[in-house]
Amino acid sequence: MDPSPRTRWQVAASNRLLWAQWESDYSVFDGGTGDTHLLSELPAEVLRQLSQGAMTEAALTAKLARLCEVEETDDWMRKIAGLLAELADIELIEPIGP
Amino acid sequence: MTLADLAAAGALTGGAAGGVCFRTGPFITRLETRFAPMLSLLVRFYGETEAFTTPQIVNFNIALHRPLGPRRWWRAQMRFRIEDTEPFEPYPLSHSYPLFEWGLNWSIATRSNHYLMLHAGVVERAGRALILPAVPGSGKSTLSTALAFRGWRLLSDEFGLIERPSGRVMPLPRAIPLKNRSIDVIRAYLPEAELGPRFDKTRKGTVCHVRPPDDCIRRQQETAEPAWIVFPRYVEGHPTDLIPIPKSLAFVRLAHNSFNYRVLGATGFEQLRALIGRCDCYSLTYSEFDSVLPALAAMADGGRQQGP
Repeated sequence: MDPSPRTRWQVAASNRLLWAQWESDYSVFDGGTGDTHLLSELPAEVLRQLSQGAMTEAALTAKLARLCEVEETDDWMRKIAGLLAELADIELIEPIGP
Repeated sequence: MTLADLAAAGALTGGAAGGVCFRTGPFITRLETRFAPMLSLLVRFYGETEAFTTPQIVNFNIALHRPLGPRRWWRAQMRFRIEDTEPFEPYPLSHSYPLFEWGLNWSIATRSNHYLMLHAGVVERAGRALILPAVPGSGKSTLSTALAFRGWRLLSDEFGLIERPSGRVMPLPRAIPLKNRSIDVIRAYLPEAELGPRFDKTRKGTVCHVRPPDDCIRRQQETAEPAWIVFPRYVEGHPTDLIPIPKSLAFVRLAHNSFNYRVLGATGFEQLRALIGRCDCYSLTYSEFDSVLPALAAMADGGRQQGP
């Protein structure tokens, strides 16, 4: 489904995530699928934020912009939207209703 | 009592439960066979290992037996059985020894999930283990052999057994199966190494086993602290190149290299995280022992040396 602006994202309900932090990357074990993923800083931060509670794309985009000290440009919003889609593809996160 | 003692007493095919029980690292194997050339090689390679005549808790209950019927005489074969299953097609009788070694490897890899198992050569020096994870054909066994005769103790040429919860490496010293060109390379470089018979036209080409040094058999229950993970790759004519790699990359490569990382799930992740956390990680490309052995010794001694 194409998420609406009111769609919130959360870490997939069945997941128990284990983390290993390396130099600037993270290994994340997904207890739901048994898969291990290698994430760089930004996707790891997306996952970490959503681990603290569900958020809409707009709220997440704004929070990450503040954390990373960048402007909320169209490029930035597209980047975060792309990361959400990729993390959903590998079943680390999922949308919850509008 | 050692396997050689048992052989001298003529008790190899006897024992309370039949067959012979002997130690390989942390495991006890019971082998039942009446094929004399097989037993003779077993004693030649593992004569110093601990052996038992009284009943033991056996990890691998293996039998090598010849099929009945015409195959007993025409193109004679050998079958490998563990417990009640025969996981492989029969091998030619003349390949009985490689069948036993490969069969035992298969048994360990599929039945030892109380360890995190890496597909790796492992050697030790001053109590610290160098782990050499690699895919078949990368020169892992050949390099492990050279190190085993040049200042390092062989823990294994095939299995990095990571013990739980200590995270230490458990030895599993075995006869090292050299294949094809590696046989002549080792024969020329290590004249002191004792090689067994050549087995031609096996499923992996020509195979010849190196007898493991006695010291590594005697110390086969002495674990080591993991210190270095080096991913080796033999490339003909390439200078020795020992390059540090990010731990994140080492994690991905080791997870793919492990026999049972996925089976272990969260436990495997925690074990691998701890292992990589305590090791320095490198990628190694090499072609010459005279260059790669000093480079690895320098790494172990605290410096790092690159080839010309």
